Amino acid sequence: MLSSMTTSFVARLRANDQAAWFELWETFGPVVRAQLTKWGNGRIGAETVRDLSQETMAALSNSIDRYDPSRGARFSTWLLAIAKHVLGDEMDRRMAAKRGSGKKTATLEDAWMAGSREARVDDAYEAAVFRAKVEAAIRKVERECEFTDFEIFRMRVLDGKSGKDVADAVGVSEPTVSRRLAKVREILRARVAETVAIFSFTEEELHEGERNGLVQSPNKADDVLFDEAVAEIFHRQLELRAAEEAGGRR
Amino acid sequence: MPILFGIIAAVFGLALVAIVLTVVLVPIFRGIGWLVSHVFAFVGGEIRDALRLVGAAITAVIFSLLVVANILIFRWSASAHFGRAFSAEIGAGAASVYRILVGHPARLLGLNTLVEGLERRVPDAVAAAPTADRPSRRTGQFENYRIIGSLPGGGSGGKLYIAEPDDLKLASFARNGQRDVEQVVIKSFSLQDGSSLPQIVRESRALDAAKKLGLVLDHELSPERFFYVMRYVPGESLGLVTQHLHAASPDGGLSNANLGRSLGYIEKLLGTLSRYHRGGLWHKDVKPDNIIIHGDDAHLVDFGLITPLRSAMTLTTHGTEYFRDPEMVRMALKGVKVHEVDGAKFDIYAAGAVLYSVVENQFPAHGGLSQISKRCPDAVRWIIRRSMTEYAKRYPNADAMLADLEFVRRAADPFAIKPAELPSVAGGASLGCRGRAGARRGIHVCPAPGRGRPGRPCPGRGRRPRLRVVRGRPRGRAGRRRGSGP
Repeated sequence: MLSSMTTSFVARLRANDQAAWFELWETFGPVVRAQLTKWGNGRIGAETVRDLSQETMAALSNSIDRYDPSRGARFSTWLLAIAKHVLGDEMDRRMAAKRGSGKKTATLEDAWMAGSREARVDDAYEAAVFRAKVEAAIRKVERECEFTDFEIFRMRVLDGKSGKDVADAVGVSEPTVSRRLAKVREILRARVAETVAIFSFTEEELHEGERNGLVQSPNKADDVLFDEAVAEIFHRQLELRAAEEAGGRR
Repeated sequence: MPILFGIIAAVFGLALVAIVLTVVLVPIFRGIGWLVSHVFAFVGGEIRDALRLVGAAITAVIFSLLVVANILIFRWSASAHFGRAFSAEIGAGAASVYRILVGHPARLLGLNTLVEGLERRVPDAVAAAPTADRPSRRTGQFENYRIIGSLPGGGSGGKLYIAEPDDLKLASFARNGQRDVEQVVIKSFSLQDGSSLPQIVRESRALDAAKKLGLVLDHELSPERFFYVMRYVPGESLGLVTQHLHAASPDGGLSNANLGRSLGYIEKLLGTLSRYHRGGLWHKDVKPDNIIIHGDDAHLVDFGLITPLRSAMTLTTHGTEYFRDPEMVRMALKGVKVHEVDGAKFDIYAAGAVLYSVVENQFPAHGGLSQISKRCPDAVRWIIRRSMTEYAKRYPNADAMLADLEFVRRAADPFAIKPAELPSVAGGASLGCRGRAGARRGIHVCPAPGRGRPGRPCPGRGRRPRLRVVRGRPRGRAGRRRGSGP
């Protein structure tokens, strides 16, 4: 059963709300590009991958009206199946359907709704989709928090600096650093829950946060674990983007 | 008793063996594992590229046959199409040969940095190479100008020529107060040469704005073509200069001297942006490839997207990925009008992204969340973050960012400066992030008395940074100018 937030987001997509589509593209574009690069196996360049990731979103927008939540596909599977379709389409275009030959490009089937057999989901991809959700939550927090508060969070949690170093850098006391950090953490907890809920189609996806150490119950010990989990997820996502950037240069 | 000693000795012996195994054998096995994986990667890479080479050769033969066949049946366009495909296959084959002979063996020997120039800088330079030195016959000549060269075309679709004005034209420039013009850049759009009407309309819209700043020397609009003339500054793009500076610095990041030079370029950029903004304009396409370095000067070029800050038009998503504020895209997609936002802040985001790319030698692929891994003063990190943060919390104007940057660059040891000491922070601009309401009120931030440099006027008032010549510039490895959102 879809959460109300997912339903409303899907409704925005169906209504062709460009801001919603941009949010989807901004959040999952890197994951889709990484997957397309992997499938392309060196046969498609970075520029083409960029174009294809945009085409994936266009294909999603064409198929959104046919989305049937009762058939139980995961959000990640949905995204992956469409990406695979777009890549296959591109390969068809290149290999056989040279312009004027009369061969039609691939048509999108509804197989993805029940989890396409062709678009196999591997653990690395699932993890990347989840990390993208957490990254989107961090972005929301960045937009929402005071600049200095977020910088304290960035230095302390994402850059791993000590409380004293952060306090020195920003020119505040250590207790102030802790207080502001707690404030940002609280907002981040809420945004992670919210973002995961928006981009989840199944119950299993909804609980990915807890399985990855992003526990929602606030206590001192959990705070440390939460910070470590966030930093770990964030840095893994950075690696994905760095790999994508390196792939673009080869 | 002897049995007990025996047991204790055995336990100690076992512990000792375990420690030896851990300390000695584990690293050895790890090393062997690394070596094996390295060799497998090499062999795998060689096999893959050998197969790619064979595939490219077969495909190239097929394409060459198609080229000939289409020539024989007078299908010139199809022939040219297959000719391009043939060239692409030859290029792919050549790249495979390079990787088989040089790339993979060099990586096997751990010489990654050795081939970096070949694999990165050479393709970039080749991609940025100018096109034909003469305008096509269809475009025609430019009266009173002698074409002496060309520049790579940018994302705007215009063609760029370097030219020398004749005496008549020089006299005309002098009458308009434009002296010391030696060479110019002509940016030309011709419908016959493939430019589209929207491109021409967009560029001509920017013309009035550019003239206000004295950036355009001459222009002509006719039914066939549109062109305008700017001063020419020789030099290299900041993108290429950044690569050179990093190549000449240690692995961990820019050396002190090169960091100082780089920050100097960004200061010049901010001075120029400040002048644009005070003139009521917004550049909209600030990126390393649009900044030309000539000596110690940095010249902002290409004003194809310049927009008046008070324009009544709807925001568009034009700009270059990585250097374009995602917030601007969101606003554009919501149909926000240009005059409803402070466009100067989008230039400030781009300036921060440029500063990031100079420090990191990478694009800020992660937007405002991009990590800074190279050697960089904390205060500069703060400046990058503050310029790339959310719209309402960003530096209120280019001068505020410039004041912070100057403060760091002129310090005896930039690495000793803490973010809290920056003029914008010490003056309360940062800690008192005023949010959207503050931004709407256009709050002006000045360094706090006594904390900034003494006797310095409040930035944003009275400073007249130099603005130098402009010429059209191309897209670069940063990616293309994007015409629209997703």
